[in-house]
Amino acid sequence: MGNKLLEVKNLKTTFFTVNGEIKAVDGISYYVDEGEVVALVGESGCGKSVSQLSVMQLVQSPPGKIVGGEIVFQGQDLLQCGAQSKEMREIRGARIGMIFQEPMTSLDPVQTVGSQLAEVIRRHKKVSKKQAWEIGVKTLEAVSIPDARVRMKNYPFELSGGMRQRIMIAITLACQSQLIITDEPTTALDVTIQAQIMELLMRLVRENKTSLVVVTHNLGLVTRHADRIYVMYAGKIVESGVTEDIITKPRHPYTIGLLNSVPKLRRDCSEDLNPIEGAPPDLANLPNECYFLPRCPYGKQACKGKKYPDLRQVDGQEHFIACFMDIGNDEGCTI
Amino acid sequence: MDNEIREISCITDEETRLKAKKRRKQNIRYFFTVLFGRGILAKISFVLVCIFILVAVFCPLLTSYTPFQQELSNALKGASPQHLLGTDNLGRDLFTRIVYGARFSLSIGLLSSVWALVIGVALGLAAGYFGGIFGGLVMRLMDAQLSIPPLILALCLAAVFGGAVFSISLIIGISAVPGYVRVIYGQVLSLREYDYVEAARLIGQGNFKILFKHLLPNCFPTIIVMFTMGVGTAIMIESGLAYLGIGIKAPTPSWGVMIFEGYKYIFSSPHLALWPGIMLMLLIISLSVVGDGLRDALDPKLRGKL
Amino acid sequence: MSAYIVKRILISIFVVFAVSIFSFMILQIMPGDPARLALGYEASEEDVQTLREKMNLDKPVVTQYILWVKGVARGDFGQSVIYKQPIDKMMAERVPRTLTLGIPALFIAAPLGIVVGVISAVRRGKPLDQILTFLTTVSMGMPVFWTGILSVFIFSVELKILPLQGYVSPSQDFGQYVYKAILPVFCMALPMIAGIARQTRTNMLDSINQDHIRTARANGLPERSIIFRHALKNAMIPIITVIGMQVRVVIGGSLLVEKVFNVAGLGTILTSSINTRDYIVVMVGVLIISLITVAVNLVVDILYGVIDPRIRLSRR
Repeated sequence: MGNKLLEVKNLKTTFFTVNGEIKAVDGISYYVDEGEVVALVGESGCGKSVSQLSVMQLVQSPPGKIVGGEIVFQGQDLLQCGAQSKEMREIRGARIGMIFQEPMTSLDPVQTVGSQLAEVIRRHKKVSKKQAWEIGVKTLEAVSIPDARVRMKNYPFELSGGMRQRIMIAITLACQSQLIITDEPTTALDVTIQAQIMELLMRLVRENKTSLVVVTHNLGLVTRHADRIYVMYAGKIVESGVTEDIITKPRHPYTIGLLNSVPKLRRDCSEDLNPIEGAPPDLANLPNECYFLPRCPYGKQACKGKKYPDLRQVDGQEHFIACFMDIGNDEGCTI
Repeated sequence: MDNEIREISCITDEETRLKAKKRRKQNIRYFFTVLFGRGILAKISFVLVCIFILVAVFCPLLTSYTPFQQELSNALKGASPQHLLGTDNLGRDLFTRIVYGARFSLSIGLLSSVWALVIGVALGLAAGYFGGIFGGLVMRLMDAQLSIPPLILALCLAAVFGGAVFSISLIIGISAVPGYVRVIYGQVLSLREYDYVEAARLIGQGNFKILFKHLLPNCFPTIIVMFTMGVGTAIMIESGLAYLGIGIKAPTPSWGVMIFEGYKYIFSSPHLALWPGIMLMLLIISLSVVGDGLRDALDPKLRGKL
Repeated sequence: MSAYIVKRILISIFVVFAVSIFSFMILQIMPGDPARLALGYEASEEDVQTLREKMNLDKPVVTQYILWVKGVARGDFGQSVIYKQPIDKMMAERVPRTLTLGIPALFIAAPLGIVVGVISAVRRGKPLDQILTFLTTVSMGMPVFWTGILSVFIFSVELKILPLQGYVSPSQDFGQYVYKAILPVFCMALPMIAGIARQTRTNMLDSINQDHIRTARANGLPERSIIFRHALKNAMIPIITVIGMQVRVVIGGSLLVEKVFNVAGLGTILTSSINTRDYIVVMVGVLIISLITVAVNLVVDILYGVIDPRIRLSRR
């Protein structure tokens, strides 16, 4: 594919709490090409959101701290800039936009939609208040909000969740970000609205050739839209590859488990859901072996006592897993 | 993100009990870490509160005088081996009066906090749980009471009921009631909507059972914090009343009275006003620091953020 | 919004009504007979009886209350039995003294408290925050009269740069007024600054942790806008509530401050009237004080609507 827009190398983010150090993100590496849609998949608490906040350097500190790694965006290591630096401030919102999970609380409740939108536009573009307002109206129209002029004067509490998420998208759109990071953008919305928002987002991304990182636990969403997938478990990437490989030929037991636990609409596929047994490990007390071993249905005696497995290449060029075993799920059904 | 970290819990069957035990241990450790985690100030305050309590309990053992014992020939003397902090205008031993003042202040503080707690929690629970006109009426009455400054309310009541420890503590306690009622009322209102209370009602538990088994325990952390803070506030109001000479009058060994009497000699013997003032200040401040620590340690919202 | 204000006003009226009953009750339950007190113990029973009739004390309680309220509404507060002069005249003379000390204290404390609180919250956990938090804790733990005595000891007794006590009206001699008012205003303002700063810090920390602040950061907004335009504005409601509550504290504290600095204001007259059992004055004093706090609370409630569109635009 094209040029690497964002490359994260060996990123480590740790939370220093009273109950010990929590390694929320433990040495993950991934990249996003220009115009590419990349998905980060995993259960709650696997560190996927924290990794994205780390890219923006918005991890709350204290207790969180990025303890190592590199975040190279357009050839520049963002970690060298520092979280409070002017460079970072100019990148946020302007070059990297972020859309959060909770549309209900992600907008300032005491400012009108318009003034929030205009403030961001004026921050990143040299325009007058009036021009900023007009750009705001145009972007609201671009995200298919009816009566954009009226909506500009509304407060967030007067709008529905889907509408607010559109406004969040409009903000990233107005500043023409090259990279948009969305953190569970549709989880809090109704199913029908979810589809609308995703369609809108994908249309805008393809039109503007923007890169997109989707953080989600919703595999259905990912299969439809993502070019490549990274699967995360307990702060580490356990499997990565192009979407088709991951969906049709998952090689890591966790990915297989995730795919099996997705409810399927077709009846002939399998009768029951197969959830992954157990719960994710306590990040404050990680074992000195494969983190997934206690829940791994394939887990063998051979895996015991070995240190955490490194990522290794399998099958195609882009397919990596962190597992000692060779499990091919050829007979597994696809979604 | 904090949420996600916190949500991670361990449910595997055979390990559940062990983990629960470990978790309890962790909780206790967390409680003390936070309680004393605010640095040296929290530790000093805790020690000070303990010392004040010990002094209040054992005050007759600490001195060979009584707080009322006058020795006019020996009035307004500075510090000496016989009188550690000197004597006041009537030749009474200042150290003895300060020590007994600790007993007076702490007993008023504790007693009035108990009064406020009992009355306030009962009213707040009732108002929040039954709601409707009754709840509204109680809350408006609390508003009305809040429009009178607590010191002035206590002043009026003290003029009516007089100044024994019992009645003074009740009076000061009453002035702290609206605080409890408001907090408990708010908590109950928000808790009432929770599913588990609804569930308890659905399986047919009676009102009172729900009130005391489900709602009250949830208010405990707040109540404990308010109680601790209330002791300090009560002592402050008590000292104010004593300073104004209403309800609590000389020769009661109250720090407020001593400060007022001592202030007359601010030029010649400033220690008469300064020592009880310093003690008063230290006690109230250390109580509030301990209260702050308790609040942080008991606040579930803060967990995982510290 | 107008429905909201009407509701607030109705509640205020109820509160004033409840307080008027309370202050009237003081007269009823207080030991001693005002008429006997006014005439002294040597006065004859007939004279006392005549005065009782004149003061309406012989009528049923409810009638007495109605007559009293009617009088107050007309501006006739009755007569002090000790000072032998109309209470409205006394109050007109004394209330301004209390206000000229209390209002400056409030207006100094509110902005200062907010600034200290914001600094503390922004510098959370840093040495500056720790110092400010320590100072707030200490200031809140100092009874007002003790602050007064300590500052008198330091500035008047030891350094001899400020007056020991006294009061001059600002209309009489503004320079002297400022000179004499510095310490009393400081004493009243100190616990208020601390209380407001503390509340501001707590609410700012809550506010800063909200999702929309994260959004604002993610959109690259400058820190100044994040703190003041977004975080502080959202934190303002509880802060204003506390400022409103502080008015009570100031009035309560004015009793003590006036005693320390020997100012013949509303507080002093209340204290001395309680001591001399001049209950009609106490009644009026308590009523005035609660009227002031109720008025302040009404302003606070209306300010809520100005700040929070959710309140302003609600149709309740």
